Amino acid sequence: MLDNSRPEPHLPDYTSNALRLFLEGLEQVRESHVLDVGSVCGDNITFFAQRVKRLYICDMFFHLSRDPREVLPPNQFWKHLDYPPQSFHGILLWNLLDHLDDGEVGRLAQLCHDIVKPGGMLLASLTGKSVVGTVACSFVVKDGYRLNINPKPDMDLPLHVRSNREVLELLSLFTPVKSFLYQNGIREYLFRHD
Amino acid sequence: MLKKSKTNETDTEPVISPARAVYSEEKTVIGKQITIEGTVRGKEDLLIEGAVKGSIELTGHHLTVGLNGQVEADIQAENVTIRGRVIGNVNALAKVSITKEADFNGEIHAKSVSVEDGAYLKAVIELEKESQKKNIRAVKLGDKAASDTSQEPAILATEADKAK
Repeated sequence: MLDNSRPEPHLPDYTSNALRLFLEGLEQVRESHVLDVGSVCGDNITFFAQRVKRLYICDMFFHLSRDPREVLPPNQFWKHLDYPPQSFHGILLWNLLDHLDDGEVGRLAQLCHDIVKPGGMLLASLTGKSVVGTVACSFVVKDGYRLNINPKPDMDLPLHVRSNREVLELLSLFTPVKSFLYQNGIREYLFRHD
Repeated sequence: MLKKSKTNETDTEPVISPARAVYSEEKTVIGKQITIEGTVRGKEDLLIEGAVKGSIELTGHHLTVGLNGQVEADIQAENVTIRGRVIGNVNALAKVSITKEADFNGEIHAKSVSVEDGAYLKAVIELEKESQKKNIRAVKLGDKAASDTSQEPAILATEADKAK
């Protein structure tokens, strides 16, 4: 009998240089406030809650997969990120940008720019055409800045593949600090709010 | 329905001294059909399957918000397990556990927290930092592992790129 099941994609973990820089930056702050927009993962909550003063969680992946965005005005969708201006020393976007169209990325960039403090950082990862393919996934932080890529096939989200230039243009409100391309195709960007 | 559940049920009513009561395995259950508004205070474990609005104080004991529980309250307890819906601030002396079915909106102050994948959180988490120094040391040790990778990434852009 033919086995028609697709082979499990090879999802090697990798060492995140952007995460290392992000955390080194936070070490300079006495009482850091960090926002993680998801997807929510117990390991990450434990990891970051032990390293920052206050960890804020707002799972936008949950809303992306549950809220009827097509019938909601944009302000309704983004109301979840209703934090006061200059609240955070760092924001973890993970791969959220992969699943937003250009207009939504622009709206998110503006929101993040408002709620991050001057000098604060933004970490974004793009899976793009990496080994992850079109499946939504979460990044699970392990020791030594290793990241496990955890596919979430139950999340049916559109994937928007962007070039390096497009990403930098969409987030032009921020100053790019450094970006990395890994062998597994994943790109990481660290931005700063000047 | 408000009822008491005991792990070790016996036919005769046991006589429990106040000192022993702290260690008993009794648990009060606020049933699905019960709604309470105000302050709930107690000295034994509590399971909420109904609705509670106000505040909950269970010093030294375990609060569980069950799958059907709907709580809008500030909570103080030794340990807190959330399986249902909670809006409010949780102050636990020990651990807060959030299961995958939970819907939590509020602040958590605790020694430790565990969250199952799938839970919905809009939360602020602040842990007691007894082990902070130990963790920072662990991160420093992790530096070595980070630089010791066979997958050295290519650097795509720096500040200089933007200036061009």
